[in-house]
Amino acid sequence: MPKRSAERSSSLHSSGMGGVYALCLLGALALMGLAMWRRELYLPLSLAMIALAMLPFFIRFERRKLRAEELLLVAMLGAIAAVSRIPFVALPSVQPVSFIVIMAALVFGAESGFLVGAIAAIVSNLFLGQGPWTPWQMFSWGMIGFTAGLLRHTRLMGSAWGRAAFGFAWGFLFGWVMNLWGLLGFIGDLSWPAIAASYAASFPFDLAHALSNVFFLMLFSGIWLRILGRAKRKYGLLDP
Amino acid sequence: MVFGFAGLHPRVSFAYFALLLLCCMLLRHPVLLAATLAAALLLNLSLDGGRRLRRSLPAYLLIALLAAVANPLFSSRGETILFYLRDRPVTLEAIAYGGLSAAALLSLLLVFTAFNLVLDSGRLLRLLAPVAPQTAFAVTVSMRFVPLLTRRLGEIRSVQRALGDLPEGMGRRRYLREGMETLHALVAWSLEEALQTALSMRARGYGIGPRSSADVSRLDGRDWAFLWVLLLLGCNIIIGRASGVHAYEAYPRLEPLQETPLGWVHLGCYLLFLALPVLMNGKERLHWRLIRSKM
Repeated sequence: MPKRSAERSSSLHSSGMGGVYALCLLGALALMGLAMWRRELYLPLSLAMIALAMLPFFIRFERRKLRAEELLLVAMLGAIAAVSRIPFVALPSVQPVSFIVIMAALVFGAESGFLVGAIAAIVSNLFLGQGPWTPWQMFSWGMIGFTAGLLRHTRLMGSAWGRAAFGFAWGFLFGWVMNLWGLLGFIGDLSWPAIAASYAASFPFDLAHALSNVFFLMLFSGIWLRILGRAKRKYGLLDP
Repeated sequence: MVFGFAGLHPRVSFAYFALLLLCCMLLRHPVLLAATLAAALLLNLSLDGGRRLRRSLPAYLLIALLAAVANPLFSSRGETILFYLRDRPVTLEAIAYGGLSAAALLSLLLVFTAFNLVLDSGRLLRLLAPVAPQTAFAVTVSMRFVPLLTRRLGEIRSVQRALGDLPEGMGRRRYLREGMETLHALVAWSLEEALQTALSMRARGYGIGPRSSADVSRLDGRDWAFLWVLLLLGCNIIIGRASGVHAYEAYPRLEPLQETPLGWVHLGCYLLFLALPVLMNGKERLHWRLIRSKM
């Protein structure tokens, strides 16, 4: 959370997080190279890559001394995102999880956005059952939050249209990342036509996700920013 | 009921499942795949009689079928051409490869069903807690909120219904809008309360010192024995696979299923590895029956 961000950015160097980032990045690249070179074992290597990509976020979260408010806020937003599908059960592939993650990230920053997304994925899978999709969901929702948080002071995220475009793009990106685990693991001969066919097959679902993101962001982002911003001001979870 | 395999320490059963899932991803030999599928099915049956699996099996079979059909449609590798589909050769090898991929996918999904039966949310969190205490704590708190929020959603929905905001047969736009209204009420209500909970946690001394924790379960003799067997068999399986035993090639022509002496050892290790949990559960069941019959 953005509080004490000056203090934390200095601790980034002192606590050796830079080295951790570099190691994780190098490891992920090495794994990708190995998969490309051997042309096999795509699934285990890609899982290891995802784990490496998420590791720095969790290490940072573990090292931070969190105020109770900050921890409760992340946990509550994750839980809200996880149950937010319930009022929309009648419409398949319409879910406001991505929208809530984006809102959390816009108000509380990139790291909190990542955590809310990842925790929402963990928690909903703890209830529905883990599967090979769990790490991919954690990664995708986490990244939605992280990127939204990084862009939160830009002109793009300042305007409703910009936010809608962001949500639309992530609606498709999310679906494409989620297609990857099936493609990488179980389509033996990874060819462009096969990839294109799988993306074409998932197009209606991705489109529904993207359009519902746009719908939610256009109509409700104002009120959500107000609700979350109020909590942030009231409990001193403010930017310095 | 917790007995046999499910009674092992979470760390030990996690190690077993990690190895089993790795095998699902690494092994593409027809015999080993068939064994994996059979073992995953048996494991589910011995854990809960297949009740959990029955719910998701149709969807899993559909996914596997799609994976099986997709390969010959997109790949024309292989020498044995069976027929032509719109000028594209459909080969025996591509069909076989698709079938093997589908079997691997299905076994992965079946193993995950068993994984969820053995390592439920509580055990997973106990696994996570020593590694990442703060994350495990946040997830635990978050999990605690889920039933609460679900109940609140029901309350808010019934208020909306009473006010006539949720008429039968409303359009999609209206449905989304009203769903969002529900969420607004939920967020405003719950966020406030979460922050008050935080204040109350601080009042009771959260964050004063390092958090203490206690884990009641320890690795007992049986867990260690299981771990040693697992290590032995796992090394055999992984090293064997890495050095090319049971590396099955479907292309360019289906490889004949011949076993070398080394292959028999590898196969034996793998079968024993697969049978471990089923044997443990079977032994417990037998034990239970025998004791009862004496009474």
